Amino acid sequence: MSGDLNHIINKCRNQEPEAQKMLYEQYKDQFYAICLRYVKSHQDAEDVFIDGFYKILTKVADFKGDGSFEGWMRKIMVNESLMFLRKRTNLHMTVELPERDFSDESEENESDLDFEKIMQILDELPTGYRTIFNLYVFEGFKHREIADLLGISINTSKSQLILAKKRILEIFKKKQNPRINLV
Amino acid sequence: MTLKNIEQLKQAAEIYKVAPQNTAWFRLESKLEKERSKRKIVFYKYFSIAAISVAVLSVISFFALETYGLKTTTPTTDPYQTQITELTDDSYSGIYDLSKLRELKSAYQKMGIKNKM
Repeated sequence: MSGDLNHIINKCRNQEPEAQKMLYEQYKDQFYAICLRYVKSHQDAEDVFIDGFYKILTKVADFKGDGSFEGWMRKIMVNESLMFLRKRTNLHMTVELPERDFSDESEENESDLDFEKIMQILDELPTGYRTIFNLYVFEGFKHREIADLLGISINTSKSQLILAKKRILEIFKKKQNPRINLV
Repeated sequence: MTLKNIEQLKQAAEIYKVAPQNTAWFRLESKLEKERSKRKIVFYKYFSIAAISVAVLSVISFFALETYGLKTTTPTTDPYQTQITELTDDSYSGIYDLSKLRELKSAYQKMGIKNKM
């Protein structure tokens, strides 16, 4: 952690408005992007982002310095997004594939996928798929952790991820070759 | 999507940034301001409770002193003061009940048993 950031954190612990603004300016774009990955609409994402940042700024005294401060803030943002999804939307996570289907067959076209396209495609995914994909791929959670976090089984988490990947490739193929839609 | 892909996506996500609207900060600031004023209210609440408690105790102490007066002791050089209370009540028989002992003695005498009681 840099000295500057430490200084800002200490001032934030004393609830100094200038330091709070500085911390906000430093991380706003990064954290808003995280909220947008989980919550589709900009308006809802902004609500989640503001609530998350409010928690960060009011609970900064709880950060004991174990691990990175950025990681701590990120966790708050992700939890806030998940809380929003639990309250507002049905995560639709009841589909389970049989054990033999857990082999990942979605390896084609892998080199063609870039991040911007993935982000656009993520918007088109059902909330359940998108949430699991976000937690597994971007946050680096294990299936066991995702299952605990969302109150689902490990198999559901695995199957949702595979279905999400398949759906991403389907949407990607359709975007590459719009004629497929007509067939 | 392989592990290599996932790692690439993760790295791309780290640098992916989207700016929120400028109004977001003002909304957050107003929430923080509310929190600050709430904290001030809580502080003043506890402060006023403490002040009222001190005032009530002072009033009680004042009236208690007025009612019962202030008992002072004369200063002494002795480290300890001993107070002996003499019992003036004749009915107190101490640890032995002498009248019963006498009754017992006379009973033994009637029975013809001599002892040195």
